[in-house]
Amino acid sequence: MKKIICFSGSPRKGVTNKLLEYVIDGIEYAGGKAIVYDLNNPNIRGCQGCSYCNTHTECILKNDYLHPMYEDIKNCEGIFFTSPIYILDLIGQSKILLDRLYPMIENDLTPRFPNKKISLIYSQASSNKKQYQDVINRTNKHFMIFGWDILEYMVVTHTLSPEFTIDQKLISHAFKMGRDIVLK
Amino acid sequence: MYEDIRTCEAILFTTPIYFFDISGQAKILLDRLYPMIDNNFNPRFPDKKVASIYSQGAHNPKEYQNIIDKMNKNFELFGWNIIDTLVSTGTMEADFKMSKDLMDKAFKLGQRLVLD
Repeated sequence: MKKIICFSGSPRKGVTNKLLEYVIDGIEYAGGKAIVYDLNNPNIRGCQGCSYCNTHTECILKNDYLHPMYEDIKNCEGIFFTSPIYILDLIGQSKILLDRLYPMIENDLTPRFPNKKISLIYSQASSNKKQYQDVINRTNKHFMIFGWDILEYMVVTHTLSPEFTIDQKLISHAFKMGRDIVLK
Repeated sequence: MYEDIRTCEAILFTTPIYFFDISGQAKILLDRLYPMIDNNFNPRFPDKKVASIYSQGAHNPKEYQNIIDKMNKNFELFGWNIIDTLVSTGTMEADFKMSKDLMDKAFKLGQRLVLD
């Protein structure tokens, strides 16, 4: 069974997490298994900058909630990353994940676990889809350095507006992204 | 921290750059500073002095200028007055040493936060 590691970057039971539920439906529909990590878990610590991962393929923080992630990533087919934008950038919880992914590369930036598929969902209050394109490009580049192939990314806008609803179009899109990461 | 910020004169913000951006820990602080503005983006605790120190592996001090500009924009949104920004470069080199110049600048920055 193809394993897909899903990162939930939102602390709220809001748009991002609701869409992730439809993504997981899509993953399971296609016969895959979703393994979910909640990035708001209080037992997650930030990168210690200790350089342990220069010589090891995992992080020195062995008792941390994220620790099993390194083994899961080694054995997975794909990664699904979801994050809201807070104050002009990824939410801090997601940036902590990115920092904790230093073990994905060697000291000379060679990928250790390349050839994974990755899809992403970003959500933002701004109604301009291109508003945080710099953040999205930087984050996507980050995953490309790991040797991961970006299948697709979706930007959900205007999420704090009172008229915002998760409509059928968004639901279908999220479901399809989940299905595709298993099948493509 | 919220009570401390309300009653302080100045803020010193220091962070390393990890993966093209401030560290996750620093970004969590920034997110936790939402209470510095009200819902209409009006500063609740304006007129503080703020200075920042960044350290980075890259040698070019302008490499992450976009990140520094963004942080300063956030501080301006809080109504804080930026007095200076220091950048320490090449910090991951085996022969990296803190220069006398940098130490002097850091010391002066501390003084200015109190005296300016």
